[in-house]
Amino acid sequence: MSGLAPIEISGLTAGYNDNPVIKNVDFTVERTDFVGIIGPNGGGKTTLLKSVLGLIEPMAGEVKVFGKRPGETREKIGYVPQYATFDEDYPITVKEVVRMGRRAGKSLFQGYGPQDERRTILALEDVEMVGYSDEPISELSGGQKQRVFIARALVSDPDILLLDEPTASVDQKLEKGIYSLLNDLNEDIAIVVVTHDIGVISAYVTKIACLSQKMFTHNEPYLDADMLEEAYQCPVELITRAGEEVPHRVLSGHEDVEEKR
Amino acid sequence: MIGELAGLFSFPFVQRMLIAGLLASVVGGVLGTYVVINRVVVMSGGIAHITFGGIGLAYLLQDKLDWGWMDPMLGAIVFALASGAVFSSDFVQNRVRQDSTVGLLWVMGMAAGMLFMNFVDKTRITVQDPASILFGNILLIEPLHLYVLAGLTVGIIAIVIIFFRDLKILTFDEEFARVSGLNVGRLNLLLFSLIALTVVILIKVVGVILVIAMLTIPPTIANLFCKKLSTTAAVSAIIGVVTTFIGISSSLVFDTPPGPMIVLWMGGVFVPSFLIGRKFA
Repeated sequence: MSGLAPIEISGLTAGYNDNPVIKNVDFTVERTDFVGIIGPNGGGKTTLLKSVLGLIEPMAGEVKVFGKRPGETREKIGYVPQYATFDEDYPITVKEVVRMGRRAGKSLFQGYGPQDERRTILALEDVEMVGYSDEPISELSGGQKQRVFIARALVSDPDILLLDEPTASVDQKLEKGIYSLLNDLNEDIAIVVVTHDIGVISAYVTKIACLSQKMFTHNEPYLDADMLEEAYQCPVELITRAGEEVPHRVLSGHEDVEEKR
Repeated sequence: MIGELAGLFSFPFVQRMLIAGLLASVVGGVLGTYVVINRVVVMSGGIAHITFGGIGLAYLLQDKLDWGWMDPMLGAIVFALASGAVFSSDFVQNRVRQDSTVGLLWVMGMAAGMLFMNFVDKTRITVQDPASILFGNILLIEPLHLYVLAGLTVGIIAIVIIFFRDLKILTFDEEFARVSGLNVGRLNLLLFSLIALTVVILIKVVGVILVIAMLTIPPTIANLFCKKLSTTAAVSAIIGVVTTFIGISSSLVFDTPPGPMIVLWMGGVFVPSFLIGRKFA
């Protein structure tokens, strides 16, 4: 398995009902990567994720996860959906939500065992939520819920973590907390974050890409205005956030990009 | 009054009524939990009303084709399962809004049922009074029906237990169920089939119109106090059993139909629960 890239996308065209949303995308995620994929709403970020997860079939091209079709390697991918898609009144505890991540790869009659319980606790420790194990998920704050969903993705011991807008519903302080958590996790596994928020993400990623029907990337951890303008189809100005403690790597030194503090 | 009630409990028809009521409240409480958390209360009401068409068709087939074996309950089961399949299907959902589909089939079922019954030669076939189909009449329950109810209840609960983990993932987060490799389409069909069969059982006890009460009120009360799906389903079944027992007993004492009495007792428990619930959760 050693030589195979976690995710290898070549010539991928995908979409719904014969309408392609993304066209001819080539992209590779390496083992040590922390990839940020940004792009406008409707640019195909979710379509790309669904292709990698094996939820939709490519119209052309192919997606390989460790050299196999996405549906055959479900345990290798931990997926964190965009938060707030579940019913707030659903009677379920934090531990039960995380344990769901152990379901993939089991048969119908193969129940959760002691090993599953142990991994569940470990995953909750990783995201510093173990003290909330028996709380109903509805009692948690937005950032805490997001940590629980990250734990659910981690509990299957994945080699890749895919996150869809992981900070869409949390405030700036928690946003940084979540990204530094992902940064720690990146020591062991590849991380792919899809977001339309180009602010905080750039401080942590090793590779950044813009997706707007087509993929714009130069395999570097910084963004330049040309790339963004091509993706967003309008002039873009890069601004770093005031009061940000983490040094940004966005600064690509483009003469047309003015840095503001 | 207690002595009088104890005396009534010795009658076989009263015993049958109690057993039917308790079976229905257990299965109603458990499946009702899925109905409530999955927000398909209105769809369940739709399934209940659509079965009226199946009951009417069964009588018509008994009359016109001499199908003596065509029990109205069989007609109800077929119509309930078919409507459950329609409601869970993507094919229909992609073309017509789901609540419109429910409204459409709801009235079609009722209209077809009334017309079918109208065509039945009442001198040949004894047709149950539509009012007792709508509001239920467990006084009329036959021993054979009781066995069918018991078999269905045991079967439904067993399937829920086997699929409990997957149904939890499905109802909590359908997308995650897909990502985990579960067959979401088939699981949804299974869940709707179980709900449909439960509706048929409940119709025997409280009638078409009051089915929604048995599927909705106990789980909603339980959901106010419980933080896990398993305890919600169990508590909901217990609330169902207790209120059904009190409802049937009081209907015997006051000489009223049992269905509406059960429903009002459930509603009576809901109001104070609503006021104190969630404070302890």
